[in-house]
Amino acid sequence: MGARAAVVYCGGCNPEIDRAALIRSLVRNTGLIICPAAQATPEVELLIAVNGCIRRCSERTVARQFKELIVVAGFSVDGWPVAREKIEGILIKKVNEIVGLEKHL
Amino acid sequence: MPCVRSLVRMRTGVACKLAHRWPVIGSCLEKVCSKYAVLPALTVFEVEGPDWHASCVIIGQRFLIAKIQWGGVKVTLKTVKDYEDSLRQLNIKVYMFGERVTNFVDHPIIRPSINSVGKTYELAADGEHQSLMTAVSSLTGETINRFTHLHQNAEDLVLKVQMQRLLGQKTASCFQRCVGMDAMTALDSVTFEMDHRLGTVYHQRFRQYLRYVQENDLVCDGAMTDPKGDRSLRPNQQEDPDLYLHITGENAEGITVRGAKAHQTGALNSHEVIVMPTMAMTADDKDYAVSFALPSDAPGIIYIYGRQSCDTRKLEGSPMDVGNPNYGGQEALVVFEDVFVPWDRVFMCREYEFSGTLVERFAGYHRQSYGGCKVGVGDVLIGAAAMMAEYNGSSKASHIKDKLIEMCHLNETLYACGIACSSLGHPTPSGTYLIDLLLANVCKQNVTRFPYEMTRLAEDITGGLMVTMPSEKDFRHPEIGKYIDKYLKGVAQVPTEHRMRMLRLVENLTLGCAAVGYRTESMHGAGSPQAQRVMIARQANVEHKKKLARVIAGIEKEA
Repeated sequence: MGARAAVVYCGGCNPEIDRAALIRSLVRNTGLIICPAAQATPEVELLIAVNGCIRRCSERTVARQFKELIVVAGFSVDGWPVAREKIEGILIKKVNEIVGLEKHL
Repeated sequence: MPCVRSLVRMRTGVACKLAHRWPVIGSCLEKVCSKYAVLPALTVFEVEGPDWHASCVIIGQRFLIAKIQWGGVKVTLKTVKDYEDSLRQLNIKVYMFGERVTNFVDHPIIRPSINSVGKTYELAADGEHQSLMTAVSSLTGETINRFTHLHQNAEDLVLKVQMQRLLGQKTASCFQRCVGMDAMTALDSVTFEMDHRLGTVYHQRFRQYLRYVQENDLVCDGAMTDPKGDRSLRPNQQEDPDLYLHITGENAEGITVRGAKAHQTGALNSHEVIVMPTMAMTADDKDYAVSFALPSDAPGIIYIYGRQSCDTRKLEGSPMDVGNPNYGGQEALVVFEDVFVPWDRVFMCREYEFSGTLVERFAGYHRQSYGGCKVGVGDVLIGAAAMMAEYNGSSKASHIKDKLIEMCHLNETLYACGIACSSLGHPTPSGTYLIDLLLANVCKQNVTRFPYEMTRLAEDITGGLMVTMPSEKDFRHPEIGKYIDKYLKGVAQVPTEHRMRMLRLVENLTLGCAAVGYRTESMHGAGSPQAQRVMIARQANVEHKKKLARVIAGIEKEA
């Protein structure tokens, strides 16, 4: 079974980035298996919170605690500013460090 | 040797508050008092119960509860008296009206501004306000004054704004302690990010310094604005290099700086001065990219007190004419004449790439602050205008009611912006929360406008007498006082003196001493209006709005 992660999106009222496209690309390029945070089984330890802007609203809707968390918020990953074209690469690197990916760019 | 019982009575206010909040401690202190008849003038003793511990000290004629640990939570708070005494210990070099001021604490022009800062201590010790005024330190776990706290979540940011509104209400003036708080929170996240990228060691150094500030409940001046000279030239291009504060020397012990910081709010009421660069610097300006903290009486620092409209009324012995005789703001030109800064107090030294971020964060926090402090002062102005309407007998006129509603609407709009930018705050990599920068800048942009409209409405409601009224001395005069009492009366039930006091308060807020803080500081403090517009342009995500329009107009399909 491949690496798994849960994903939660913010509501999308002020997107600076294309949130869904980012996750689609992540899945396509790495083989990561994702599911909505609300449906994640207990063995899923990683939550990827994808926010359109720096306001980082997505986590407010997540009920359960995940062991690991990666936050994309506009042009930032885990609070650090990131250029638009580098967001996916940094996200993949971080996901790989946590869950180990079959395909790693 | 003072008697402990009488000393405790001198501190009844604190004892009562302790007794109110922690009944066991209060009663135990009484037992200590009855057990010991007399104690030497300098005595330290401990009092403890099953799950609490208090460190107490007698210094001279004062009894001080230095620290209380209760259920694992320690409290580190100074009292107003401690604060005042600590200012007296400072050897600050102050000039006013061309003369050196040797005792600035008791100077009638300066004293109201000290009282305003003192209010930040007084309310922190008051059980009714402690939930706003205090916080649990993320560094020490002790209960500290919120003015020294690092915001740990969006709720902390909201509480900050509410605290500022409260203090604006209680002082009707600038209470001066926000600027240091905003400097500290900005430096916390920026030093963290600087270390991460450049391998420097500023963050640990800064946290150590902040711990010192928290543990001693200190007031810090946040010094950003340089004189700037010719605004069309960069710092390194100025004919006089000192027009921006800069590094002039460096050795194994530290750095030397020269320059000045203008418009420094509460500068000489502060124990510490925290210096930051005034703008984003380039490689050519790297000597100007400097941040550090110093005791406010460090050798080489000179304070030249700023004048305020009607300031010398405080020297006339007519408190009614001052309008707000007990509280006020303070600004000074602070000169750094080859001042030495040891390395353990340097938080940025030529890392020009981060100077812009530091300015942006500090300005963002300070623009949030104005959504609280100005609103509190606005509350007093609205109250004064409403009272004037009653005293004039015009309170039932529909246009007066409408003007008061408009003032409330404007004031609450400012507050809404302050709360909104706080509620949408987010964590920085250091863990300290940052406000929503777009909304903080919108908040401040409104602050550059609304207080002006509110003062216009207040003057409209109040009437022209606020600027033509005779003095308090005339009112008290044995011969002519009766004429003032007779002819300046409004509605019959209200004493003329009450009407005169309220007129002077409106004058104070709209064009007197407090107008420095309420009007011009609203315009230029935390950055002039154009600075916010630059930030709004940068943060507003207009591309998203354009896309929305294209989709709605049928030009583009929803992705």
